[in-house]
Amino acid sequence: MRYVIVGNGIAGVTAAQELHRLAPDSRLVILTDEETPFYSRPGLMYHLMGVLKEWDLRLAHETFYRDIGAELKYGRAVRIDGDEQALELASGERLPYDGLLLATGSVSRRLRVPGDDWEGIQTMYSLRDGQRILRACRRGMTAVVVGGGLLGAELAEVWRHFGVKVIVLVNQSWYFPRGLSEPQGRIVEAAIRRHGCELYLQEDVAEIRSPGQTAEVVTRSGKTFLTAAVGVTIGVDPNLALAQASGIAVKRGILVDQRLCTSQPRVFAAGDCAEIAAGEGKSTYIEQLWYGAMHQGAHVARAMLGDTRSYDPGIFYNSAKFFDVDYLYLGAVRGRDDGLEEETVVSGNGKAARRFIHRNGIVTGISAVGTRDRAEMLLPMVQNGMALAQAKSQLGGRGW
Amino acid sequence: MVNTALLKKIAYPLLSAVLIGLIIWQYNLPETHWRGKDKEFWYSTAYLLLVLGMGIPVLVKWRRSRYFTVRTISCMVMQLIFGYLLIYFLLPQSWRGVVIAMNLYPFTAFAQNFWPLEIYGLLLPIYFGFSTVVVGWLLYTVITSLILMPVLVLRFGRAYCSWLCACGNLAETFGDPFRTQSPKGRRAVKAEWMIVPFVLFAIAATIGLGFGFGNRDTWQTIWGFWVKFIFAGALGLGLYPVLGNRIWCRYWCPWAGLFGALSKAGVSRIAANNMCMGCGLCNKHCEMGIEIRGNALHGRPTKTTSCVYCGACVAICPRKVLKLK
Repeated sequence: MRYVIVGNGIAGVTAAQELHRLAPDSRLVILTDEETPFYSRPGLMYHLMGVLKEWDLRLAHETFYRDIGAELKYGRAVRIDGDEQALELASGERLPYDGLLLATGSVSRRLRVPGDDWEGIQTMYSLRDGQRILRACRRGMTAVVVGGGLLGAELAEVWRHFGVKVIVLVNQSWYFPRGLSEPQGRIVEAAIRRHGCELYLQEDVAEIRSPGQTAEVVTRSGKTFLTAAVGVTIGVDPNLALAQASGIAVKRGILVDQRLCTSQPRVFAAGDCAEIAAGEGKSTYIEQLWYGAMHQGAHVARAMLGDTRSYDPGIFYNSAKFFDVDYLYLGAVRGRDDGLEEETVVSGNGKAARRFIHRNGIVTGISAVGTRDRAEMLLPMVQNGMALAQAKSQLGGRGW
Repeated sequence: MVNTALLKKIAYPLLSAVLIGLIIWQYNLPETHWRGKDKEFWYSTAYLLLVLGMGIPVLVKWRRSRYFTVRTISCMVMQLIFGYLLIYFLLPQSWRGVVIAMNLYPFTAFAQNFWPLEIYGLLLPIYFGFSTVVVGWLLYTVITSLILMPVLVLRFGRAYCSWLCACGNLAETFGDPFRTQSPKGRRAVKAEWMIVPFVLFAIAATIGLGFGFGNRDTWQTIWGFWVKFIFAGALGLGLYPVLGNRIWCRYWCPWAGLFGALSKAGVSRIAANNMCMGCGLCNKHCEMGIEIRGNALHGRPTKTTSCVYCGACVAICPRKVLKLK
């Protein structure tokens, strides 16, 4: 059997590994429109700061693709010919398939304000983006980061590393409210300011004026910042280009059923780009995270081989670092699940905060900021539904 | 932008050349007495000061890791006690006299460099006969090298290398800035087989000298000049800036080759949870060039003969994935 995988990220590569493990005789082609073998996007910031070379970032060394019976092909897919089961490339080549996986990932969300086509606008998604950031980076210049999130903090850290004056604009009441409670957000804000960034809350970009070597960023409240670069980190959207060009059903992402199969037979989708049906009466969801993409990649490989089981996202978890502040999130997400209450406990002289999300005093989710808490310590509390009081007494200080 | 990579490419080999030059220079210094002490004492003093002095920036740099802090302090204290105070001041004169009389390169480390990293610990009787002191040192060597160390290896792997060993103490303090320089990749790991002839030679030399096979001078010259001076000293230390701070420990140290192999039979490992995002900082900061990430990405533990339990991967991981077990 011949499987073609569009996308060389964690979802695509995990699927290839799993396909090879379960069906060693299958022929695999992985298609990428980047210039590099499989690498770690989350490690990109360390590469930009010079800690890691590009080689260190690569997760595919030497015989990696050969070992999983796959061929890595550099090129861009333009259309899926569903009738003849073939993938058309920009080069004109056609790749026939018995099973096709769309693991096309995301594209960085654009600002969508006047002047958003200025060449000083930077995103941080791929190595290519990273090289652009470095080329434009000058010591002492000013840069504006738009959007408070994990990526925004990473980009700010990279720029600070090179002595850039960084201004962070966040369109929220506190930093990253999607993942942090207010006291946790304040700890992160303090860290961002401690590392030399100017941070403005409830500020959004209205316009980018007088583009040239520099430009003026005008906010909705009327503030103006003269800047040499604008980092846009307001999230990512599923990369739908190929699916749309091929008549595959899409909404925000590529619509897939619970097995991760798209509207077209033998065509599957996994990772950032997939919008997954959660079952009767429930809304669809997109997991734009490394971990989710990895789980989906493993699941979709089994689905492509005929397994009809539904994808189970399992317990949600994420972890990151805002400058030197550790962040960990496990379990129920507020907003996604209803009827949840929450309580934040600040400890460690105001340097750490744990948020306990609970339903009637039973813990369903924990997020920690500024602690060295480890996932395997918190996981059982969430899995087994520990009583709130007990969880609070077991976790304290900074967990060092 | 300042190209730090290019700077390293030029500055580090130069630094290596300077280090190698210094090591060769001091080796060829005549055996003079200065202020009532001989050359070996001053070498030991310099070594100790390097460990203590360069240990301080290491403590600052890695202050966020409690394990790293305790371990670095251990390196400094162990060097002070076992590598210096005991040998030169604390032990009774007769006990110190025997080992100092061995006048080994680069200095006397019976107390902390166990057989077969230092073969003479088992060979004192052929030089000094069987006095109480010699038997005492012999017992010490047998108990530490052949009983205590193997047991510790089974539980904690090669923790000895990063907590106590004289070579390790320098590697973990003066050598810490160069840990990212260690060779990485499959070929670098395969090259670790190089260690086998060193183990075989150390064992052969112990037997040869102990039972009088072969020429005593030949054994001593190969061991003292080639193994200790060239490989452990000039190359092992001199190449820190180019090939990382553990080049000797990884590719040539006979103790590592013999007892390191035992660590694979033990329980120690670098455990991983399922939070790895494959950034590669662990691999980069591993002074032994171990491929940790490839396992951690799939939540698998890493078990090797080369891990010295330094804890850098655990401390550097931005996702708190790893743990020494």
